[in-house]
Amino acid sequence: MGAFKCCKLNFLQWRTNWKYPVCGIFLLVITWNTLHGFSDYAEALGCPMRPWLLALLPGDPHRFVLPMLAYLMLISDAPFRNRQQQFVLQRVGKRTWIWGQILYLFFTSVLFAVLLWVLSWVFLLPNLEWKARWGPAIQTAAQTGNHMQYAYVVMSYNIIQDATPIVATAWVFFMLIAVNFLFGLIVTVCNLWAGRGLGTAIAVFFCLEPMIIELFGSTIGFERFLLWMSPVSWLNRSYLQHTNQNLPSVGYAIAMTLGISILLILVIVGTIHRCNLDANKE
Amino acid sequence: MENAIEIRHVTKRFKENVAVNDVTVSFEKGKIHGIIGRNGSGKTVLFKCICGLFPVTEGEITVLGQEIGDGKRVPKDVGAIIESPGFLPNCSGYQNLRYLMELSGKVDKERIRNTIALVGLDPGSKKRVGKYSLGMRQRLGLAQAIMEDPQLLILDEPMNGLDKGGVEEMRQLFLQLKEQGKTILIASHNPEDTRILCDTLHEMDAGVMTERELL
Repeated sequence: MGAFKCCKLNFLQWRTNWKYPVCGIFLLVITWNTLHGFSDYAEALGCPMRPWLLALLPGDPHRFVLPMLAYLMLISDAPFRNRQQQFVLQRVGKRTWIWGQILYLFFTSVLFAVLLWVLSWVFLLPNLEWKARWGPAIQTAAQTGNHMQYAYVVMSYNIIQDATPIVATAWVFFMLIAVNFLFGLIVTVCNLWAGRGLGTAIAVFFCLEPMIIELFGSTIGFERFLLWMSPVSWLNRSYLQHTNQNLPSVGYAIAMTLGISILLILVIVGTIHRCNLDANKE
Repeated sequence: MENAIEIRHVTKRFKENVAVNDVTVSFEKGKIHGIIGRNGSGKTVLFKCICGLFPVTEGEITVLGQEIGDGKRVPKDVGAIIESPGFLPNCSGYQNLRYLMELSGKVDKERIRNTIALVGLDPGSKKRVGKYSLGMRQRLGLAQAIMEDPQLLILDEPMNGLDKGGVEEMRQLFLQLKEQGKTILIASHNPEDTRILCDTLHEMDAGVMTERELL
């Protein structure tokens, strides 16, 4: 219970921390800019859009990097030490406090995924149809690429072929939570032990990695090797193994993300008593 | 007489810098103990070690009979202010204290209101802490330290930001708390505070603590 109360106190600070409204507005602007054109595209085709664009967003790493970096901005200060926290620490102790920070990172990653999911279809209204198939608009866009004059987003046909819309969207949704939570834990460990900024730098590298793979992977000759170490790339189902392609599998992506997260949680909770918990400079 | 705090050969190092150097001291229960020293002498680091915020490099600290460090947290019967107090700026003083009291268990609304009034603030005020003056924030910091009726108070420069009248009020409050049997450990560089309040006085300089005569 104490951990949940500590988590709640972090959420209460949203009202006064400029990062949250800035991140929200940023997400609103970039998703509108990226996706609103699909509504016109679907109208031009004479059919409604279906709300499954979230499943396809990781297929365009140049655009998907932006919301990922926005999330990093929110968590770069993890585990969120400030002068108010000294009063919290005195009352609950270090272990309960850090569990509160871990819970906060988890709930923030869930809220972020929910927001991104909502923004992925809200700008398609009112020309939106809630049906469980991809629909002619998305199928045509992914196969022909003729949506580009309306919405400049690369869409991977492999994602559409590989899974139903619900499975593909659920995959991106839950992996987004898991990967963002993992980044939060990486930032926390580095900020506690290795100096501020290192964790954020590592997480930024992971966010940029899909772009690096796309731009340089084949040139430098180890595109497939990099994919095994690219959590953000795992959100894109077309990068995961289907037959014997020497690509990471769905199971690998889940095991690595969850496994490393569990390991980092054990490290954080197991070593927090040895940390100097000073307030961040405000 | 039993000791509220026992510090035995405590050293605290940050890489090459020795902030607290082999300090051994005990603070008796039921008294007001003063620590004086210039900025950077190690008082605040020592207070953070006592409160469990910093693990010690060497030595042991016992607070109210309980050894702290290595996963063992400071007892609940301790109230503290270390450095400038910070609160949720968008909430009132009452709301801030309520959120903190929730962490310890049951919320006693009457107690919170009485404590806010005791430190000279208006318990009914809806004014957000973000609009408070430094003195008001310091008073609220004192309120959060005493609202749960702790047996031990650890106060780092508690008179910061208070005007002359406020300083006098706080001194009277501390003397009142001492009469109730509380133990108070104060860091201050105001000689008047130490003369009027303290039963014992120690000085810290470059991480080393020595006992001083009260004049």
